[in-house]
Amino acid sequence: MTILKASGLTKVYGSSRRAETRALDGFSFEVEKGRFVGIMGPSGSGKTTLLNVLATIDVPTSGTVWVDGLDTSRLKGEELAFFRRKRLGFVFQDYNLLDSLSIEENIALPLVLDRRPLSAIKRRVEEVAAWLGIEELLNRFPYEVSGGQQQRAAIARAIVHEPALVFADEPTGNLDSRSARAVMDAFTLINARAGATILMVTHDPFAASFCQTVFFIRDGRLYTEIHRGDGRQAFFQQILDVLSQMGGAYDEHVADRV
Amino acid sequence: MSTWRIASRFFQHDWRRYVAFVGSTAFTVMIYFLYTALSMHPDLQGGYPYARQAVQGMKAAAVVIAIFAFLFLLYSSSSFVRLRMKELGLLSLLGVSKGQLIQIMLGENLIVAVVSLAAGLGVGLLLLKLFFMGISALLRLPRELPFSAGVGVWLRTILVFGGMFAAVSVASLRAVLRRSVVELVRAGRKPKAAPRFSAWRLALGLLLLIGGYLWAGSPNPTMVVTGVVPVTLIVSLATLILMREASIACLSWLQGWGRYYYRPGPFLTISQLAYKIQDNYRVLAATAILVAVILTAVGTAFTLYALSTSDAVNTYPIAVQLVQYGGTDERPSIAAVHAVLAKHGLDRMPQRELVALQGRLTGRKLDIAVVPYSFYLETRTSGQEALPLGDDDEAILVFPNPLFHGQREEAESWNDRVQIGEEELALTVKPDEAGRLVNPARHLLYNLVVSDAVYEGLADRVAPGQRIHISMWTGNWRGRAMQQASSELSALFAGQEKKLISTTMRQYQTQVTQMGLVVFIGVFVSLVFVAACFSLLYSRLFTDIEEDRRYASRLQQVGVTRRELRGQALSQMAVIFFLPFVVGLVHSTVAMYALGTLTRRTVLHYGWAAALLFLFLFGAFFSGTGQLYWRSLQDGLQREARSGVF
Repeated sequence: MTILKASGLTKVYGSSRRAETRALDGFSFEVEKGRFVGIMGPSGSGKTTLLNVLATIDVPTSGTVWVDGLDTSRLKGEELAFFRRKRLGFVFQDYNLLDSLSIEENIALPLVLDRRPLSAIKRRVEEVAAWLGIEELLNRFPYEVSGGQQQRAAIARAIVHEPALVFADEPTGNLDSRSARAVMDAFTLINARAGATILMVTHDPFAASFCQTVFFIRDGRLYTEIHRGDGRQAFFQQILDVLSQMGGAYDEHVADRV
Repeated sequence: MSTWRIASRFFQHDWRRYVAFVGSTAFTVMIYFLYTALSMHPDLQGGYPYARQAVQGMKAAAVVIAIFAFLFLLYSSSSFVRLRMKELGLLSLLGVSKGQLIQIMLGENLIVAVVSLAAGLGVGLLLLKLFFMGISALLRLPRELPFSAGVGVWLRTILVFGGMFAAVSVASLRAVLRRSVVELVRAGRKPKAAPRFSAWRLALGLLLLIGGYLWAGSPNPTMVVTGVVPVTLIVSLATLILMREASIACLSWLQGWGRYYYRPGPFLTISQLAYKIQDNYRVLAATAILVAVILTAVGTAFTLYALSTSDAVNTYPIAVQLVQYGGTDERPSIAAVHAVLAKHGLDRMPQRELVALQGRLTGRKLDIAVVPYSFYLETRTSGQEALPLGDDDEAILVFPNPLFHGQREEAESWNDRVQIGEEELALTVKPDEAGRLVNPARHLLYNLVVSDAVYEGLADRVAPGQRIHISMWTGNWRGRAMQQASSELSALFAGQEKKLISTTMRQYQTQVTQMGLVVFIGVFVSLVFVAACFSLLYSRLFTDIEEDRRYASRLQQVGVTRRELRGQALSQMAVIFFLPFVVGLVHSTVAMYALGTLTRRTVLHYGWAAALLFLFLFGAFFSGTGQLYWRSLQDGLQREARSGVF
């Protein structure tokens, strides 16, 4: 069953014809329910724009996005906020937990906004925290725990309300390799246990190797897609191969980041 | 780009952050300028009545304003510097030298100083004429004060405030230069440690508060008077302690109440308030104290003003009263008064004649005037209950109404002797403290009421020199005609020892003039406090604007709607604004209760009237600031939305 479908997405920035930039140029793809999907591409390839458009935060110049069969361009104003709140979950590079809420309250936030009863909130938060191994941290505040722990709390918040789709933007970008591994394990786990569909944008081939499918994007168009076979190690090698095929731009960017 | 340009860029970039600071400083400069101009006015240095008091009052007020302004500047600029640490840290990270950093900060401070001085002096100059008109009317000066603001006035204002700005700049420079670059850059995002509740501090705060309240609530006027300063200090300290401990206790209690807390509104608002307790409680306490001072000052001013009317009637109950001593023909003078009244259309006032007998109560050692019981009954018709008079050997002693001080008579009755000329009578005397029968004059302060039979017996035998002839015109004592008649009558009998004229109007005018000045100074000083109070709240709100924007945009990403965000922001603001108001109102109610003890009547309603007035002002300020804050928050959100979430 298709949970996310994009067709002919085009996004043009700039008003005058000369200064115009095509961030997306007729991008189309589909994601099956329950998949863990990665999106990779050099900087300027349009992946951030793609994520913004898919997540209903930006509006495409043309083309359509369907989430769970619903055309998201039909949603306006508050409907859009409600849609995002109920149907989508987000994980950000810098965690975006609220400093004023404890870890437990941060995770509970989507359920509180949805006006769920207290007992149901408590039960669900404990369940999700246990999956992610952060049940010991529930009473702490974000600034009292490590980056990896914050990111796992953010993942818990993203899935606690059982959204149709979880969007993740460079979730390992701020983490050391050990924490990055723990976070990717957490994604794999919630994908398997909760059946969450995850769409992750990343630069990191290691992180991408945890996905089941990786889409590569260049110049606003779908470049290619590859599917994971048996081993993660082999998939990692496959990803590196595609990246080297894509060439120049990507290497440059990796060099930038180091 | 020169350092000067950088400094002015900062100013242009986020003007909303500077508005409160510059605005309230300019306002303080203006008030100081007005007061100084008045106290240095050449016309007031000489002889007008009350002018000397007025000038002294103004000078005292100017000193209070200056001290207060300095503390306020120091506080605002330190919170301002904290806000800016990160920017300054980034500048030094980018290779700006210490010298240049100092130049930038001084440049910035110079802009703020020049703008607030210019604005304050400019507006002050515009209002000066109006101010002089107002004060001339209040002091009832024979001619309006001409416009005058000499070099001295300008120089003093500029020197006082320039000096303050210089001192404050040095303080903020020190604060920045003492820190390393890393500390500066990190200052902005230091997470706030969760404040801990302390039961013994709460107990201490409660103890201080109760102690202060009990002292102020004491029924003994002397206690109340000596308590003014210490009680203010004690209650201020208690407010500071309690605002912290009670906020922590209250918020954590609310957070523990799951069914209430785990709902969208309370969840966001309460957690955010709890998170900011450490920053908020000082401002909340300071605002509460300011509100208490403002309400009490204005309430007291109201009270004194309102009491001057009833006091005039209490001390001079007879609208127009002519007293003639010592047996001369009284008719020509009565006719003269009548003529003046008739001239102003007041000849329909009921007129009554009475002869009081001058004597002495030997037991009590009091000079008294004997009046008949029938007269007593006539004057005691309105409201006050007349005491019964039994046998001929009974008498009633009417005390002058003890208003602000003086002791109440405790005995129910006593035996005394009254001496009138050669005559002496033994009487049983009952006290009456329900108010005066006639206007005060020589021998007329205490009136001894005897039965009509006794009175007539005495009147027949008394020497003409002992007779006091009183002519009274009663009825409406107010109005323009009465004002004119009153001053003409005073002029007519001026300097006469044996013929005394008194009017309620004259007493009223004297009191209003004196009280008007108190009210005027009180209200003007309060205005400075109001400005400070508003500015405190405003800067509290805008100091955190960057953090609040980050917070709001994070909420938006999770799907919180704009309307929910707005509700959250406004309800949080409402707590920060109206909690101190309520606390201040409670404090000032206690203070007004104490004032009631001093004035021997209930004056709480004057305080509440002042509170209602202030509430309107406060409400307007709340909605204006709320709009501005929300718009400012939204600007940030839109900027964020344009750049996308990821």
